[in-house]
Amino acid sequence: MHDDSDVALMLGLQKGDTAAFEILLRRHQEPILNLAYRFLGDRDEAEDLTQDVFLRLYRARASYRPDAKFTTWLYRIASNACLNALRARKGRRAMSLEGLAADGRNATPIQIEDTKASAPPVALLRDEMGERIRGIVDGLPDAQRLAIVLNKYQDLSYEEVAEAMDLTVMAVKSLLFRARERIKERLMPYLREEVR
Amino acid sequence: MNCDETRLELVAFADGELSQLEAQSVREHLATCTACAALADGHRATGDLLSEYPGIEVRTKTTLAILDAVEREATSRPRRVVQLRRWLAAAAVVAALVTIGSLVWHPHIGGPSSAGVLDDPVVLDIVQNLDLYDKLDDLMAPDIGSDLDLRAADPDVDDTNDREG
Ligand SMILES: [Zn+2]
Repeated sequence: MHDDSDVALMLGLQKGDTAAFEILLRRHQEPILNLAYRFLGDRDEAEDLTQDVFLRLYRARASYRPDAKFTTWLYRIASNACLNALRARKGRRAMSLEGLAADGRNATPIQIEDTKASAPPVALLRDEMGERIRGIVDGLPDAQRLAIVLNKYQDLSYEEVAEAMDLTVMAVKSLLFRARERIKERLMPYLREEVR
Repeated sequence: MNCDETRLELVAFADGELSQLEAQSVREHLATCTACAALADGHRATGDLLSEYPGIEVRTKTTLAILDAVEREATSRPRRVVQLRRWLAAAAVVAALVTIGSLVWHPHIGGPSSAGVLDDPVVLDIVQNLDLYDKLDDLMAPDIGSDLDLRAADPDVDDTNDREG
């Protein structure tokens, strides 16, 4: 929505206009904070990550090219930062977008879930359902979780998710299908009994 | 489209990610197959429920911390230029000492005007370079820190246009 002026602001920032940075920050910090929050599941870590993302943006300003959509570039930085944060937290083996790419490429063919149809949910308190969804999203494998958060909560199209995660659109489609199947399965107990 | 083919597309269909032609094929199948139509309803309902996950708001202290951090970075002296200037300053001192030393031990070299160390062309050149690097310091500040460049620090983040679809 803001992309034209985002590009103009980035070009201004490249020329040393630090006021442009503040505008970009105020405009995009909440989506990035929420991406981090939903991916990491922790507010403090999400705030640290948001700071990290905008510092990276500032440091990388010279490498920004106006032919790249600003938000795509920003989400690419943020997706990397999310994975790095997870790596730091878990202290486990190196994890990178290449790893995700491999995950996407080697994805097993989509399995058809032959379950009964689900239907609109029973009335649950909004907070209760929110907690339930949060737990389900938290429990997704990392690549599926990142794809779901980018697509469902940041409103990125499959193509934009693919660019942010450095995957093919087909790989993203597969990740999102598996994520949504898993989510649907977990939500089944909360769907109306007569349609389970 | 048969049932298996349709079910593979139901999430993308619910997300509005299919082409017009693909979406039409799915719609035609759903119109004739109650089992697939029910699954499609399930994906739609799941999608609706997902939006119940509440987000959080930015706290002012987070914004200020980010602005502070960037301000600090913007005003901090470029590391490599500072190191270069220190090295040149040290070199100037050494050169001056060597010149003075040579005047002390071989006073004939300097001739009548040898009392002024700054008259020595070598020392002058270094001092002039110091001035030059002072100016360079300011000129280079906006672009300094290619070592901080995202590409270098994090090769995974690259120009997305380089990637094949
Ligand atoms: Zn069918």
